[in-house]
Amino acid sequence: MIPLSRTLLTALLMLTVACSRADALRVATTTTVDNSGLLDVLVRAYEDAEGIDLQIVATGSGQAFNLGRRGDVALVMTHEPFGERALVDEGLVRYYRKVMFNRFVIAGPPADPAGIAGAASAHDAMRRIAEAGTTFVSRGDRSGTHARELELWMRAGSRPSSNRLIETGQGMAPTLRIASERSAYVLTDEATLARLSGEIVLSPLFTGDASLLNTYAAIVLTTARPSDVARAEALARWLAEGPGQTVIAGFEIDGRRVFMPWPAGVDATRPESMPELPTS
Amino acid sequence: MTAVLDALRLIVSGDAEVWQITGVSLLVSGTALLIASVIGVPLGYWLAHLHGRAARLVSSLLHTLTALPTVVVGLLLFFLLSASGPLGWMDLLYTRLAMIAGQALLALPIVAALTLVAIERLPLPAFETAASLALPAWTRLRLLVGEAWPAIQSALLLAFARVFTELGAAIILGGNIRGETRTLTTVIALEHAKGDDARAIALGLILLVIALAVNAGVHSRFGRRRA
Repeated sequence: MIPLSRTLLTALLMLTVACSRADALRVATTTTVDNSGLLDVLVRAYEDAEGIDLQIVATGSGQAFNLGRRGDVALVMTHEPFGERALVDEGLVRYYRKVMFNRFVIAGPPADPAGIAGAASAHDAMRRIAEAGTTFVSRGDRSGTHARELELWMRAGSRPSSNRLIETGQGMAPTLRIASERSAYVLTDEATLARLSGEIVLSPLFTGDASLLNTYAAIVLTTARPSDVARAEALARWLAEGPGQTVIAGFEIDGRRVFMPWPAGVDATRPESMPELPTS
Repeated sequence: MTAVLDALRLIVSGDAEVWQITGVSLLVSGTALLIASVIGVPLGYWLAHLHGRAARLVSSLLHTLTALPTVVVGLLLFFLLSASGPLGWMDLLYTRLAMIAGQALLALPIVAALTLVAIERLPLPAFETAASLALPAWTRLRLLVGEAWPAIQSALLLAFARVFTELGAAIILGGNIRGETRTLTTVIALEHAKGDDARAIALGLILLVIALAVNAGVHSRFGRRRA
């Protein structure tokens, strides 16, 4: 029995060593970047170029802010300008740059029962959905997409009654599937909608509005571990000002570009900053 | 249907990442079970020898804790291990060790409570023999645990099945980091969220087969022992 217990102990010690944290840089980012597949491409490009291991925790923007505040990650990449502004105002931001953007889309059943395709603006489209008695599926998870949806309801001045506003509490892809099953409207990013277009019955119905611009920022917080700060800033610069921009520009889903690199000449240092509305 | 075929192709083609993830799952849950057994079996054995109200209280507490929700254990350890938590200096959040700690906590009450029951239910002669021989404590433990082994083995099996298939603690404590803390359950949740059904189904099949095979394997051995 003694040899057995010694074997167990040795095994435990070896496992402990095998399982402790490698010297990798930890990044929290949003599910939309991860689900689109862009993140994998960026991570691989960076690891190949710089020889630094990245560990990615994919979560909603709200939780990404939390992990940053708590000091559990060195860098956060989010798409929620209001939450980002709050961090800046609290003095928690060491480095902030916009990295890229795309657009939110209001999608819905191809027949468009609320007639939002002809809406004058994004909040007019949301008002039409609220007043037409149709169903809307919400992320309900404090993600960047959910924050934008809430902002649009506020500007619309009305929202669907609670039985017609379904909160999934899940990521973009499951939410799109549920919206498709229920023939409901939904606010989504272009990239995830493009990825799922083969298996769901939802059409992009309204998109041409500056309030649907979706901007992503890389942020290094003052709470990052001191030993991580230099590497985290180097990564953020690589993403926002370096070769990362080329990787983003070259990323396509089914031959379509789904993220635009941040345009030169547009202020990248403020959360409120928005690029010109792309024409397409 | 095509998703199921793609899933089978993924398994048969020996996709390296699928097997790496399977390895992490087995490593994490296996280690958690090992820790829970090393502590839980002696604990259950010891409690079986105690009498009185305190012992009954501890025993019913253990039984209650077998229903510990996985996400609650995950949350609790998250706040303890987070960089701004009391154990933040250990730098354990989002590592396999954090997941092992969570799963060991989940497995421990099951192992201890069911060992306690197994020892208590041993026929009296086993106890009397052990007592009359005036054996050293360690030898007596081995003897009685050996007698109760079929039941304890089922307890370990149940504990393994619980932690191997749990998602809540693994995703909160591990963070589903690729190549590091991505396990079968966390990656299935991720692939489903991404909309990659083939991978989700392939990984689900592997999870199912391992969970069932471990059960079946041990059960047949157990059956032969009794025959």
